[in-house]
Amino acid sequence: MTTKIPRAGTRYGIADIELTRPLQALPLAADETGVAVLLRRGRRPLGFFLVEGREPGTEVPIDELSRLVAEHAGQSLVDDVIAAELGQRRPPPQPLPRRSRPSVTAAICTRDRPDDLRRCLRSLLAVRDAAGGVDAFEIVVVENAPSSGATAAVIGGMPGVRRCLEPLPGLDFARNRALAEATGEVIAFLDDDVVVDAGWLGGLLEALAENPDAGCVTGLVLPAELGCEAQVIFERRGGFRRGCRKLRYSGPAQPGNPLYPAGAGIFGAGCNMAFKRQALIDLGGFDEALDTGPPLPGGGDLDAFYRVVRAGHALVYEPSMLVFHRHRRDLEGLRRQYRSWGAGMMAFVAKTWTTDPSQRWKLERLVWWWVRQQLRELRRAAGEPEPVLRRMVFAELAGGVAGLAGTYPRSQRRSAAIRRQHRDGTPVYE
Amino acid sequence: MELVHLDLASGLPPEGIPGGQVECYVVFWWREVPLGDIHIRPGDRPVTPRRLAELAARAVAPAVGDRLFRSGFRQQPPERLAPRTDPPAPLDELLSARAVLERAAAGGPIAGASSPSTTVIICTRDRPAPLGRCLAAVAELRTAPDEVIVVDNAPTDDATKRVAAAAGVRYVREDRPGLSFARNTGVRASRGEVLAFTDDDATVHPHWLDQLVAGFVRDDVMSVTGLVLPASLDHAGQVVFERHMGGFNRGFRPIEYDHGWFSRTCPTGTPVWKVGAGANMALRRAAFDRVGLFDERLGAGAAGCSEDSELWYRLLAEGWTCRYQPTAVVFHHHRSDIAEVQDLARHYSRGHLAALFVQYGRYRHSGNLRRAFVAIPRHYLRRAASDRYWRRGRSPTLRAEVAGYASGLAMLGYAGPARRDEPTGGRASRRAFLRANPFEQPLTLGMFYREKMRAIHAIARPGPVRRILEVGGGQGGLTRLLYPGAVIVNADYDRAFAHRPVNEGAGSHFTCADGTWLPFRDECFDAVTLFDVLEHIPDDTRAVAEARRVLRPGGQLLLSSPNDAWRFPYYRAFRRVCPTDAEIMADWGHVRRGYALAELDRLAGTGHDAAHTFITPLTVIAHDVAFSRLPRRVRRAAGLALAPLTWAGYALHRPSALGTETAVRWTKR
Repeated sequence: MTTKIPRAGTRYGIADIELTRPLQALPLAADETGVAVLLRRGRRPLGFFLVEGREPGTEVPIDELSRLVAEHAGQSLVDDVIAAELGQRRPPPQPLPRRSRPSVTAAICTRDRPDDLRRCLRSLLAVRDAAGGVDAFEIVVVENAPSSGATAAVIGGMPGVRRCLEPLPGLDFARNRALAEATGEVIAFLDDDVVVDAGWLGGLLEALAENPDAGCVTGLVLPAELGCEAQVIFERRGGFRRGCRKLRYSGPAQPGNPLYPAGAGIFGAGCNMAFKRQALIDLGGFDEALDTGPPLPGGGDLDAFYRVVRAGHALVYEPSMLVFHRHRRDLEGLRRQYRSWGAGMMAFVAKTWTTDPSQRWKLERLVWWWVRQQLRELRRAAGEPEPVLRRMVFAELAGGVAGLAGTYPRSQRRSAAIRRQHRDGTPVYE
Repeated sequence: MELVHLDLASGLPPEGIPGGQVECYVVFWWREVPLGDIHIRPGDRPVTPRRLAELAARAVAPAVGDRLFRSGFRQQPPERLAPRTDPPAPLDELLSARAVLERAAAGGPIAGASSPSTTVIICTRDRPAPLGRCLAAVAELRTAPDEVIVVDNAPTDDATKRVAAAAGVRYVREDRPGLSFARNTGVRASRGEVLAFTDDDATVHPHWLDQLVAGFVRDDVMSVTGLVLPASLDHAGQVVFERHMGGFNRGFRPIEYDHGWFSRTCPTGTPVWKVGAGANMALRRAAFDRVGLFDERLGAGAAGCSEDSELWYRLLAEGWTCRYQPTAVVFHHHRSDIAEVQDLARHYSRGHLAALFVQYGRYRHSGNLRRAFVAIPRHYLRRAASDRYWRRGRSPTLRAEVAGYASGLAMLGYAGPARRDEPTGGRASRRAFLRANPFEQPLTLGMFYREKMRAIHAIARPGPVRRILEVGGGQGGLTRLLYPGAVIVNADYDRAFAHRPVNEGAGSHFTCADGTWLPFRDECFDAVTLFDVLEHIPDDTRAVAEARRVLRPGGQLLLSSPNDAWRFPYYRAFRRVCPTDAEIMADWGHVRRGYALAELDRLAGTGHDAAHTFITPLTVIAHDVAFSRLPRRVRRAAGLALAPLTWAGYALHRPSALGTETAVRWTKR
């Protein structure tokens, strides 16, 4: 089924359906032409789908909704019941030591976005309160080269939130600062434009309990709003979603995915990821030459995932570790984001080419795969009457070409210069 | 590789899957029912109990869903670009599902309605020790077979005979070497209605036989295959067999391979080998009666393999169904040595190629040649290129497979020259059809039957028709005359017709059945004929609905019956020499007079494509004389005298002109 790309001014509603409660018809507001549906049972996400091409102000009738739910979550529902049954059937576990769960730090890197940060912190505080108060986990906000006191004011109004400053502009400078300042065994990185779900911490802890050897846990990222064309386009093209099933990556190869682990895009997204802190420190933290803002505002997350997996840790994707992300609202911002994806991906390839020569052949095949993939996207976009989708694909392609054409070394020089300017020139981690 | 069987009914092991340096293959069961499997790579070990529960749930969910819900979890036969026809399961059932494992496996699937007599056939050649192990497992079957036959193939000593004697089973000897010879000898020697085959290097699960029998869920299921699991994975060769040659595992949900699947995949060469494995299969005895025995050019000892799949090919081509029933489990002892497995791979690809040639020789389906000369070479090239591109290292069996393919090319002769008398499934020529008028004095008194045949021939589509259901065909064989090359299933209420010659010829099958309750699946016939039968059936609405149900979309429904103009005798003047309406209807078994065309359209639920009346006011005179009480000699003389009138009526009649009976065709949309 292909529906045409949404027209300007498109709005979709977002429905969070709890399946333990009776299903009801989904009303659409007077300006909504579709609705994004998140299905959960007992708060656990089981499926996500878009209902599109509707008349505004109508509703999705209950029988159609039931069919869609059964189609998208049929197997997950059965999975879920069986897993619960098997859990009960298991002999009772050995009594665990009292403080068996690892300590967690949630780190938010932010730069001049006080409103977003406030929403994000509020949701985190709610999770923390539900988990037992201030001691449940640590919250650290890293202010990255702030231009005003607005962010500091927001943080000052929140109880039990640590603020620290990273004067060097660049996301990975900030992330490394957080890594240095945090005290938890596990550090979870969140972007300031996300809102965490109530089950976020539980999901993270569950993944760690199920996979004691995990070095990294990534989570599901869903849209917080689909209020304009740019957000709808982004979500329709896949957004940040990686599905509602637990995944686990480990070892040097993965059956059925010959590009693993070079194809690091499958692992997750940087706006919702957690690492074993010591493991990441041992690997040298984030690469500060990636994610330095324009011209190379991406790829730091991919690089970190890749190095964690290559170091022999398992990487786990956990859908219950759910956050809602506010996508870019303007088309120009979205275009820049796609460009940065292309650039970040290819800068990651260029970097890994030099740092991990044994994987070069996979990187080479990854580039070919990526180009073919983009051309396929372009062909699909060529069928659309509106040029907007074509622009997005072109942006990603152009970013990719730039990423291969020496952006990474340039960015390395740039981050070194920033470091020289601000400090004595030593990176936090090398 | 490590092999672990976990019974979910007794809970998961508290320690999960412990650490280890080798891959672990886990099969999940609920007591006797296999539900799913997973491979755990060494890098993912140890597996914590919580994650194991998660993995187990995901592995068994499809099979559990399939057993619990009417739809949403059906496994379709493998097919590229297959349309998904299975609607999702009802949401309320999905949401209210509790204790699913318990319920899914409740009572197992032991639900075979009928209990036919069974014969287990094991073919062996100089392997007394594995045979002994196999027979020991057969002796443990919960449902004992009525007969066990060991076929000793070209033995060099009497060791096999002694093993068979010790186990107390029937021993049959076949001196021509070759698995097909041995299997055919076993079939000929057997007495059961269902013949179950296993190999000497396999051991059967205690429920193997009853599950195979339970797999014959309908009359059209002629073959049931089951799940083959590795008995051990200790040796390198066994791992290579499972991983590089795909093993025998076809999953944990039943699959039905039917004629529809066959027709859709035929143009590219139907992948019949996916139906199952000869180490675990059962066939109705009737299957052999209908399509013949195993082809003796194929099979181990001859071309190499594929004698089983070639038989499935014939069954599917003739419109029957093969079912995969994963609850019937056999544990196969794969070869342990890599060299042996490579040898096997060579035989497999040679046998496969030979089977493609045989299938083409039999049916002229060009998909087989396409597969032999395009798809297989392309597959080898792609595999080699892809292994190289992804640096996977050379496949341990590819070279052997290519060698086997090359030697198989020598068997091109099996594709044979086309036989001229090959039935095409097309409509008979009008001349040949009308000449076959079975009525006495076909050109005078019996001329009315020629009229009927002309009308039926005129409305029947000329295109090839593979499989036809003839409802109430009796012993007339009209449908056989109309489509000489088709497979015809005659469903008649009267069992006495079963052994009439017309119902026992090649491609003709008789089933004792009620027209209002046809024992066939939906949409499995290309055409349904109801010639002179609807007026006999009290619940005519249901009979037509049933006929439509079993008809595939696009298929034709052919019908002839008296119409609303019918009366007997037609002219009052004949009343003195003829029985009355009521008498003749009672005599013929008619429960109603006839149908207006609009009434028939209403029954069929759609407008007709073609209609042709017959027995006109002129020709009806000879017809009424033929059924009058006049002495035979007088009737014949009258018929002769009336001939010019009858012929004139016949020649002048137009399809829509007044007649007393009508032949009609509808197409199912």
